[in-house]
Amino acid sequence: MRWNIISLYITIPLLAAIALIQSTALPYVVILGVKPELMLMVIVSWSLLRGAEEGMVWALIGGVGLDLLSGAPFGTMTVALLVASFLSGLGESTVFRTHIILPLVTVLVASVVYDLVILVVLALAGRPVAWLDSVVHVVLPSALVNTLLMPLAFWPLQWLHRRTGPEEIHW
Amino acid sequence: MKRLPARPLSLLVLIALTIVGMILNETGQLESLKGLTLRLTTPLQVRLATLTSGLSDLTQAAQDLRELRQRNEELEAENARLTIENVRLAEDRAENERLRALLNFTQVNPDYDYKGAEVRARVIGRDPSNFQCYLIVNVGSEQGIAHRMPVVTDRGLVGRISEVGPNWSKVLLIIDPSSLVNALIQTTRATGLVRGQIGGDLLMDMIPQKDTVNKGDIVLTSGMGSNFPKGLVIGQVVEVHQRDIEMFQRAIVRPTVDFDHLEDVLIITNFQPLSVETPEPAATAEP
Repeated sequence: MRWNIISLYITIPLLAAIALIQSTALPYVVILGVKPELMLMVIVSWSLLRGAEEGMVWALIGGVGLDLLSGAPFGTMTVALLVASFLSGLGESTVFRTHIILPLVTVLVASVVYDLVILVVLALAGRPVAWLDSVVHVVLPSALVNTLLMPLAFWPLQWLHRRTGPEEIHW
Repeated sequence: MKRLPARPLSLLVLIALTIVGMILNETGQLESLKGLTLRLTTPLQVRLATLTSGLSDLTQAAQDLRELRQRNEELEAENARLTIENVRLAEDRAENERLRALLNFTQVNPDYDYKGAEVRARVIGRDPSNFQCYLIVNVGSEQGIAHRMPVVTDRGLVGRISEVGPNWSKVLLIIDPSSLVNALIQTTRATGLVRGQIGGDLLMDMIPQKDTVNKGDIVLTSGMGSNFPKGLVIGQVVEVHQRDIEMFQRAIVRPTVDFDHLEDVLIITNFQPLSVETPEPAATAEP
């Protein structure tokens, strides 16, 4: 595992800042009726770049950050991010992982999975869930918005990955 | 005889010549000489004057430039200060208007105690999920806030306290799908249940078929169930769904509160909601 303890000094403040941005600034950036899910984009990007193991550590930290700021049952965001991270990490071994197409496709799928997991957890917690309305008005627009904005999250993380990651052979 | 020294002699000679010249000038004998001299020197004087004037202007310009630059810096600083002051005044005015509106609300509704709270959305924020509608405000148990206290603005009902920390509280907004509010139509007194919907509108359900509901009707809290005080404005009916085959009518209600731009709210601290209530998310962090 390429994870090391020094990375935590960067990871925790970074993910805490992202959680705060998602909670304070992004509610004012409504596109197609939904807020961009920055934390999801970051977790998906990192899982693609570093693999599921490291991605899931990020998902755990970022998810707790979001859960602290959310009115949803604690753990909802964490579970959803962990699942999204795990799925995204599967793409790490492909030769296209640094190409922009793979992150776009991955976040499209991960976004749908992420939102559906949230709905399932909410339903299990006894919250009323309007499935059809949620899918039509939130899940699908959200997947589209996250996909369109993914490069804004992926490229800076790709740079960070190159600065902090192991040497790679590029073909 | 002793001879005069050379220098005093020269002085005397020059004085004498000057006196002669004065006499000639007084008698007009020097006019032609003066005219000739001026004729020859005037062009030179003009050029010299122009050059001097130019140099003077240049010096003055340099001085002016220095002063202008300094003045410009002062004005820019002044402009920046005034801009900041203007922004602050505009902010103060907006806050003043909001607080005045809230004050009017408290005067119109004197039966309740209000604890002023500023929505901390810009600092801590709103719910990060697209499915939940919560706000975090900057007052909590240390300020006397308790679970399920109603939250309002001058424009109407906002929601209720769902979770309380020492100096923060989460507010479940009425537009959240898990929120339920007993309501009535102001004009016809038709009762129903208002719940949040994905998209920000409200659905008033369970309206008996015999009651009349019209587009534009104002929807108020009914006070039934004792979850909220009676008479708080919720919104306005924008659409009515009435089908004879169904047991109840439904209405789409547009909330009067602008949930996207909430900055200040009031928390009704002396309202005691009943302990038994319609299902709602459990509070998890109440101290």
